Amino acid sequence: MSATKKSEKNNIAPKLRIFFITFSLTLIFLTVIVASSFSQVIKGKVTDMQNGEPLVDATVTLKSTSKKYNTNSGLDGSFVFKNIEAGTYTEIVQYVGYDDEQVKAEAKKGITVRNDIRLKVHADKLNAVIVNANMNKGSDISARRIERISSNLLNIISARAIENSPDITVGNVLQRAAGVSLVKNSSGDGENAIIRGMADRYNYTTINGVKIPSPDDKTRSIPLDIFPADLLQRLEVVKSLTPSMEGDAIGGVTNMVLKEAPEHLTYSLNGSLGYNNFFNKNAFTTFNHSGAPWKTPYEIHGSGYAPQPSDFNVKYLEYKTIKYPVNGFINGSIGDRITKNFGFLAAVSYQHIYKGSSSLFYPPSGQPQPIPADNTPVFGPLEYRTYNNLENRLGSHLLLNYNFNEHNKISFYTAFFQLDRIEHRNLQQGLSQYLHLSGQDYVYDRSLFQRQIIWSNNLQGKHQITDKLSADWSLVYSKAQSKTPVWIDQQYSDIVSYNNGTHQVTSEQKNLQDFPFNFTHSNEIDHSGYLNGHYQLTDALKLSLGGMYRHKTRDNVYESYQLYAGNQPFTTIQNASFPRLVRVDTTDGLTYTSIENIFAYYGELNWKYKKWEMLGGLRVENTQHSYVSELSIYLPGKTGSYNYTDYLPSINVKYKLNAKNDIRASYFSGISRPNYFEYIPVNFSGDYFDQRGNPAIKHVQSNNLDLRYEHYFGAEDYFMAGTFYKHIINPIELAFQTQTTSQFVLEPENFGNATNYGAELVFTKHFRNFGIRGNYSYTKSSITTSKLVYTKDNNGNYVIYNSTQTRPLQGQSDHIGNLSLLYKSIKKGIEAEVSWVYTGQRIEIVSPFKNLDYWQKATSQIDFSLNVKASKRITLFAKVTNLTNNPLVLELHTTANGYYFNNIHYPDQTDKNNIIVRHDNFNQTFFVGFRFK
Amino acid sequence: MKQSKKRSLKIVLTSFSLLLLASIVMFSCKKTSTTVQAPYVPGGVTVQPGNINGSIKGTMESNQTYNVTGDVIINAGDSLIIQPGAKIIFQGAYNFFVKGNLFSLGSSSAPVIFTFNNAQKIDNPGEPEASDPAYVGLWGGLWADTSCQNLVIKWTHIDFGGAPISAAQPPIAGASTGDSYNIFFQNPNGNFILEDSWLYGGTDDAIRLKSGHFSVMRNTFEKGGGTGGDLMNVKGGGVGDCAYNLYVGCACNGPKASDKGQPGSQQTNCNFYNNTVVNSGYRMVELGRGGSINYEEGAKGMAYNNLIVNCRFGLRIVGATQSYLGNSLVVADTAHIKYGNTFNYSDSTAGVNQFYPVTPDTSAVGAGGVPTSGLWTRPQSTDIPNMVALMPSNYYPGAPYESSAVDALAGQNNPMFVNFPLPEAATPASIAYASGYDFHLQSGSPAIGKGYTGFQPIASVPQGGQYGANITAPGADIGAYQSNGTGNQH
Repeated sequence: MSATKKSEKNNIAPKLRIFFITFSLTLIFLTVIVASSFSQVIKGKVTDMQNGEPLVDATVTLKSTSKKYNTNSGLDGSFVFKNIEAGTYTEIVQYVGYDDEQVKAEAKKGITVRNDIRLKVHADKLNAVIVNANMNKGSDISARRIERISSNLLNIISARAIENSPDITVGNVLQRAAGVSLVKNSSGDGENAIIRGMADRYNYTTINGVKIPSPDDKTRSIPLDIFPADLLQRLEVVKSLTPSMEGDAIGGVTNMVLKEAPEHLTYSLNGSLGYNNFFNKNAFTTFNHSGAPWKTPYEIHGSGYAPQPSDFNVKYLEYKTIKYPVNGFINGSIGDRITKNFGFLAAVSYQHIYKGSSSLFYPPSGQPQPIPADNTPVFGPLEYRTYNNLENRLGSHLLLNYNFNEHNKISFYTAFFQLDRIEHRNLQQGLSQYLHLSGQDYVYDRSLFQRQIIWSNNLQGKHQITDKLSADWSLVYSKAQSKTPVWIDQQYSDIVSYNNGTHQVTSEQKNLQDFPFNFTHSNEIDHSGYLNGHYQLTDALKLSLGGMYRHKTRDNVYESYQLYAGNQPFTTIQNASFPRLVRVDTTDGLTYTSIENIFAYYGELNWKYKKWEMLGGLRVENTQHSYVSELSIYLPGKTGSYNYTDYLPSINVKYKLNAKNDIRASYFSGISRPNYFEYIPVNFSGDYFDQRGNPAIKHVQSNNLDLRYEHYFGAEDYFMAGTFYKHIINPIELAFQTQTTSQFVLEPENFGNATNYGAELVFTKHFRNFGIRGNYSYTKSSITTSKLVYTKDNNGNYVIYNSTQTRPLQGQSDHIGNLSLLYKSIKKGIEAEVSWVYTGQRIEIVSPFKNLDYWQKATSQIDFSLNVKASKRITLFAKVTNLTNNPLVLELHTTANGYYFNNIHYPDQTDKNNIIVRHDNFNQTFFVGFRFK
Repeated sequence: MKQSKKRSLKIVLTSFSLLLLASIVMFSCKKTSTTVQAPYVPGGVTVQPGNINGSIKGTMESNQTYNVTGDVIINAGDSLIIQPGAKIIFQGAYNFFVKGNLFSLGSSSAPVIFTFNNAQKIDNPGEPEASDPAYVGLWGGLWADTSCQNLVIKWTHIDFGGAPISAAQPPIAGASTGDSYNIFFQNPNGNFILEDSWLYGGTDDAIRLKSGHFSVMRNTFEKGGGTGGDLMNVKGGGVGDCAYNLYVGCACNGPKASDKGQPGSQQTNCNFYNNTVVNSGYRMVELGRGGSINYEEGAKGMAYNNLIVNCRFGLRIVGATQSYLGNSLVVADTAHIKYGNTFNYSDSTAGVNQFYPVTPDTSAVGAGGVPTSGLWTRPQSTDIPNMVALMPSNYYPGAPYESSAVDALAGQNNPMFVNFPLPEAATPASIAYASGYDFHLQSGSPAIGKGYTGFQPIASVPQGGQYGANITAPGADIGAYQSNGTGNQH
């Protein structure tokens, strides 16, 4: 017990230190600013004469006979000269595309003079073009402009914002968007997005607006941690659909817009080194994955082959340690317009990241107990997991543009992403690790090497056929793959004794258990074609008609080979002998092939009238899905085919109240298709419970309403407030089925109707060098499902009966918030950002028993980044994530006290109203690097 | 100008309403189709001697041999009857999947035999687990589906089974890849009768009764489980009697009751009486588990007249949910468990000190400050030896009770088997088989006449006749063999 306290103390110390460092940094900033203020001050604001919009980064010069001062206007157009000599000055303001302006300014002793300047757009039209060209497409300003121009609801994160943010993968960037929360992977990085409380099955991901296949062996979702953030021009979160968009989103769409070919030669290079201080206390352990077999024994020898123990190499269970592993990443891009007609952009990103985390877990037992209270939770032995993940992330993309002439353009892009994850997971089940007790531990060592690939190729054309008629088309070939050539779960029992004097844990007897070698392959290929035609009916009215067809094939393989170890005394894996295999299984629920053909067409009208803008129409999507599984022919559902058509109307209306204020309303109907495996009625083992598909599953339909008010009051400053309401028909949730056994199987089921509504708030406000950016969303969803209650009847007999419970959708948080404080000094070349992300509590694991859902506690993470311009082309940066070492905690909302650890004081059980069931630590990650442009 | 705007407005409105109309019309005539492949149910073929596989029904005739060359299925509604002396020889790791009824009706003079082609028993004291073919699982098992109403096995040898299921989804419910049971039953309303039979070898639980009514009487069980597994593991909703069985060399327990996975209102209720359990619990890896007879996780019932010889633990009843050296214990329905008249024998002082299993972890304080313990078996004055007076003054169930008087009981109270020398020649676990020994009681055995007969069997299955159970009421002598000739007939 004293040891536990001690470790708590140790945890607090670094937190304090980090807090202190942050605090001092802030203090230094403030001191710099305060010290620079002097008595004579001239300040003002540069705005556009016509619309009053602030102009950012205009050059402001103060000139007198003896002195000359320079500055630039800030993000709200404001500028200030401090510490200047009293006297009369000429103030010159210059901004590209605008006429220069000169005024007289007098600096009087001890007085602050205000001198606002309004610039007029240069009469020459050419300059206006220059303004646009100069407008960096990856900038925040351009992001706001796109958001505003867009007919439907978008939230955009610009390349600049990404660059300045603490994030290096797309997954983590996404959490900065309004209404988005993340499901994290074992190393604490965002893997899947929950948009407006809707889990990843209700969302889809696109690259440049085109859907990409998934390498995930179970779901359609794209693991967002595979994409390096540096390749993006911007990240869009689309929250209302238009008829031209694919219709299978209910929460929203994540669209990654990759960098575009520039007008002139541009190149960039950035690199960074970093460290995760999880490894201060824990050496990084890993294995050598070279020579890993890309084929399973059956694939090598044919299915008639009898696998031998010698087919399985245990060298992947030999672990080596790396002390203080150093992370690194390097990104480069180059682009140019080589001839008038031909331009290109090529970008490469490579990350080599060591991630570590630890997790304390109280696994739920198969069922609770009926005493002393109904559904009193029972747990299996405590588990302490340590993850050592090495992630090699490669991203590259090439874009070629060719303009035949002004009216006919084609482009080709190819994007390739690869994530290698080499994971050593050590799991200690028992008491010695955490409670320092003698007893029996079980140790599970997992060696996992997984390679995920996404490769997308897109040939696009745009043709202006007549003045009024235009067309565009795309031909897409994409492929997503996942392979785990190494996936071994070695296990042994370990009788240990703990010495209270020396605090040493001594292993007395280890026995090796039978353990599996697993192989998974997943291969998804898309062939798609898109064709859209646009006809300008009148000046105000545009008609678009289009269609698409996609042929998707998916092959999944899961094979498991179990080695016989027979409890032999265990010393090292090299000394172990394996006389035979216990079992070979190639018929898992994750072995299947699926084909999905989608044919969709739409009609869309875009109409602008005075202050009104409307975009709406109808989309029709036909889905043909079929699968073939490895199920026995004696059971129902070996194969299945499904055909359904959805009619998806949508309308987006925008009303411009005035130059600064817009109101939007939208309606769309969206669907969500079940995951491929969810049709297939074969068991496979999940994280906590076995799962299987349900051939009777139906796709989800929905009706969605949105209302949003927008107020723009600066180049980058704006405020948005909106509400949404979703009516979901046949939502899919995993439900528990009892197999008349002591085990439960999770099965996807349709649950009548569910509703989901909420409100969102987004704002950005700059005060000269400072800025504040934030968003908040409130979401409320509810669903009622059946739950079991284990209790005593009047005669004292134990009975189980079915009850119901209403709860939020799995993964939905009531409150999600983001707040960033920005500091930006163009003059000093410093940009700093402190970001805070708050995710309210949400359900992580749904229990088959009433009141025993596992809830993820509200999390609150603070990240920090700093950019300092070292020279005209070189910027130095630092990024720190998870400053406060925020843990991930799961808890049960019950106080029933019958759980198995009632005789010992267990770690983390500090909350009187809840039982803590999981506690994960990720520690801080640091990066320092340079950026060259 | 104005005109054109008006016109465009008209076009917009018309188009939108047309689209709306179209969508409404199309919504109303929505067409979907779904085709899911139906199960392949070939009609059961009337079984003939020779090679068998696939769906069969009918009668396996006396003294005929049937070679199993693939999984065998008895369709729902079909029955397979096996006559005395029939031999079923597995040629590979195949299974019987019983969706209908299986009646294996051997006789004392001509038992039915289920075994593996050319398998030979190696019954040597101390034969290592890794080299004994009993623990390989040469063929699978008899797997009853939820639709199986009757699995009735009388005077039948079931040898060398226990190969794991290697399909993720075998053609029955409730089982999945890796499961390895010699007999599996799961229909909460079905009847499982196992009488006067022999079960030899296995890799996990020899009998897994996930649910259902049962009567398991007068059998001989040898070498159950490889490195873990109970001889008969009853889960949620198992109700019945298990009596007069001889267990030798079980990996874990002989019979075990748990209410895990209880279906609806049928709580696990097991009577374990007049069983003889010898040399069991030593191949179990987990500390604190396995031994002789066990109640845990919400199960209830009665345990009387059991004879427990050189087992890892005596009668084990879990009395509180807690840790046992890191392994979890989940409380039984202790309010409804009755027990007594247990005859305990051990060669060693270690064994004597586990007649009433001890919880090594610190015990919790329960209601009223009374210690409650993970293991809860309280010495009864009807037990042999009667150790009530030997318990320390502050004793509570699960607490250690070692003293010189207790240690002195090692090797005492020999139950006097007809032919099974006690103390044993080698370490206790070395003999895991019954052949060559005779566990009948000699006249003059201290177990004779010490049984409790004042309770009734649960008798949850149909009785009498060729297909019904033959239930033997609680006997006057402790153990499976009665001096009046009733009880175990082997």
